[in-house]
Amino acid sequence: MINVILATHGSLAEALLAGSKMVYGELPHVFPVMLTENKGINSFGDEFTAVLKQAAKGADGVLVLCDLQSGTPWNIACHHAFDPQTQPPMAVLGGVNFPMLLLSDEIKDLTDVAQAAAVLLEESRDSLVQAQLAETTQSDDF
Amino acid sequence: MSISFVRIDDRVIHGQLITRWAKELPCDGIIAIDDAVAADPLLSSVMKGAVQDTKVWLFDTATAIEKLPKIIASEKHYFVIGKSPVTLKRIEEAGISLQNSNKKINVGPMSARATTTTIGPNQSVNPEEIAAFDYLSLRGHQIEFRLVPDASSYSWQDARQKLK
Repeated sequence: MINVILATHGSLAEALLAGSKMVYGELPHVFPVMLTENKGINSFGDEFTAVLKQAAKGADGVLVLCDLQSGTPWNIACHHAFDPQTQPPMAVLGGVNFPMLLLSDEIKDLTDVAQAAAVLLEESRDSLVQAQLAETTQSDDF
Repeated sequence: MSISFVRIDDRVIHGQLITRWAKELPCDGIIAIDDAVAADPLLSSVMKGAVQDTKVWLFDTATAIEKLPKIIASEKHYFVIGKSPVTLKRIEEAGISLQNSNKKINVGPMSARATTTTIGPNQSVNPEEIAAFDYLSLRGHQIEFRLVPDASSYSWQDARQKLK
């Protein structure tokens, strides 16, 4: 199975999880970790290491969903993900949004984290959409 | 039998949730039933626009009762979604069976409102809905509260215990 770390600035990770509770219910495979103004970068790094240890337990891979490419959560996630000593294997995605978090529920049963990252990225791309009206006439053609 | 899934969901059509269920069960089209939504052409159109690859029909209860026999007789597989168990009760009272190949009525989100009791995560019922679930249960329907396919679930019988 693949566990997910949701690594964000501010309280975004917690807020996204609160939202997902209303739609999908609990997401026990997701572990939030947040960089806040008062905690600073160093303590975030320690916290990330601790959360990673938890998320790695019993997992075939750990997928980190970061809010922003090249932000601190991203940099620290990459530091672990590209360390050849890291076990289990990790992958990192940037630009997490609400649908991506929900869709992570569908890749949690995979075993290859690289494949999980590719599938999730592909599926999440479709979540950025402009609202449009559908035609209102309804056919009787069932 | 061409109904492949019956669901109660107070958002009626929730794009991502429907897509999720459609990955598990055959879905050639979605029949959504709610009097208030059907009476609001703008909201109807917005909701239909949220599901892009699947055909969606939105009916009020009376129209649904008229169309469902033809839908059930079809070779295709349809999802039937009602906003409330009360809607589904009215349909069964009109003599239409909602028995389906998923063999149960699935219940998704039902928001907390003034007279509701909470029975699960984002699932709350008022007295009229309780009576409707009792009715559907007596009609032989298995009622399962489950937001998404992999989520934990409980039955109406389990929920009934909490309401005593």
